Formats: sequence, C-alpha cells, structure tokens
Amino acid sequence: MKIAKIFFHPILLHRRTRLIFIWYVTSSLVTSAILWWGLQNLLTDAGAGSVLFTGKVFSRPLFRALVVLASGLFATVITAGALVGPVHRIEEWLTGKNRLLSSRSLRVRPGDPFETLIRILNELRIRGSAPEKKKKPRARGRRPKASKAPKLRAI
Amino acid sequence: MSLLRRRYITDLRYQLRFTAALVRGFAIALLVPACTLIAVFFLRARSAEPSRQFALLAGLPRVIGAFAAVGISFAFATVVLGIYLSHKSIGPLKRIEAWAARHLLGNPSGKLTLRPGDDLDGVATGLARLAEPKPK
Repeated sequence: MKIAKIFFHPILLHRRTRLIFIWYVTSSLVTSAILWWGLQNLLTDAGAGSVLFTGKVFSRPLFRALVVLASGLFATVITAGALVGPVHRIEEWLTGKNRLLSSRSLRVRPGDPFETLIRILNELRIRGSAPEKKKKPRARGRRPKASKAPKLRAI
Repeated sequence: MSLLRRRYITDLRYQLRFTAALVRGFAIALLVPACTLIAVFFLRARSAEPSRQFALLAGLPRVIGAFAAVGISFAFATVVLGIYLSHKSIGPLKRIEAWAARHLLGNPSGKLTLRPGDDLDGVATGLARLAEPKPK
C-alpha cells in the first residue's frame, strides 16, 4: 500500500514531472547507447569478445533498459520533489480550500521559494474565511445533569 | 540577447535554482547507467589477457570523450529547458503574488488572468474563489 502511494503520488503524476521523466530517460538512453556502442567496439577491436554483458541476467536487454529507467525515475523523483512539489502544494491548498473550511494555513518547507506568496495567501485566507458562528448564550437555570456512568457488575 | 533575457528571465535567483536542480537530476540520470557500463567494462578488461588489457584501457578515453560530448550537449539543452520551465512557472506565480497583494491592500484590480500556456490554472481559479466576497 505504501509502495503504491509512492508510485501514484500526485507529484509524480503531474504534467511537468512527466515531461522531466521523459527528458531524463531519453537523454540517458541516447548517451548510454553511445557509451555501450563505443565499449562494445573496443572489446571487438581488442579481440576480447564481442559482447559487453555476459551472464544470464546481465546479457538481457531488459537489464540495460531497467538500469536506464530506474536511474531516470530516481532522478525524476528527486527533481520533482524540489521543483514541482511547492507549486503543486499551493495549487492543492487553493483548490481544496473551499471544501475544507477548517483547513489549516499553508505552510512552507524550509528552502521553499514562495515565502512571500504563501504569507500573502495565508493572510488572504484569514480575511476571506467564513465568519465564525456566534456562540449561543447559555440557558439560565439548572444545568442538565451529567449522565452517570453505568455501574460495573462483577460476573 | 537582451530581448531573450527580458523575455525569459523573470526571477533570476529562482530560475538559477530551478535549473540547477534540473541539471543535478539530469546528472544522476546520466551517470548511473554510464558508471554501470564502465564498471562492467572494467570487469571484462580485468578478466581479459594481459596483452589485450592495454588495448582495452587505451581506447577507453576516446569512448568516454564521445560520451562526454553528447552528455554536455544534452546538459546544455537541459539548462535551456530549465530556464524555459522555470519562466513558465515563476511568471504566473509572480502575477498571482502581485494580484493577491493588491487584493490584500484593498485595491482589487479585476480578474486574475494568466498567459496562454501557463499551467497554473488551478491556482488562479482557486485564488479567484478565495478572494470572492464572503457571504453575509
């Protein structure tokens, strides 16, 4: 369940995150293909075999693709957390605000670049929040008795 | 050049940080597979005959040079992408900040509008809803 939360995290499904992921994977694929081709040629020229990867697991193309995809995903997660996260949080807070009247004020993580904006938004929220209901004055007279706790019976 | 700067540099400090983060991620995405490949190559070279080891190691700088050249060109493209993406993000945010500040000071100046192509529509809509006069 926790793993699913990581993979379907709203930041990872953001449009900009997808763009970053595609860019990273494409550039990683192209550069690794060039490197792999060059190393393979070196091996062939030196007469030390024609395949760079040997073995059951490593020789599969799926392994190479997995390395590229995993590194691209890792880099995307790190980058998206820093770049897409703050903007996404502001967006989430603003769009979900009217549904959750008791929502807390928007908070900044240390190092977030939108401190001024967040301060203004919080101020605006305080001003724009619905007026609190006036408390009803207590009825005079006897207070209703608090219900007694049921006695415990020994079994 | 100055036109480009005026057009795409909105907040230099933020854009530099954005681009640096993007380039850092790019370096990770590039170097992890490259290091894996080079490590495998070294393992193969170690197991080769001593006479062939020299030829294998002598040719390595040329291959790494080609990889670096392609990598640097991609890095340059990443910097351009970072500047463009950060410009697309910080521009609307600055606009929203100015609009919200004006609203806070009691000087609301019409509807909040963003440039076409800006991807902060959700923020603009939510903010417009937030700034609506409260029901009495």
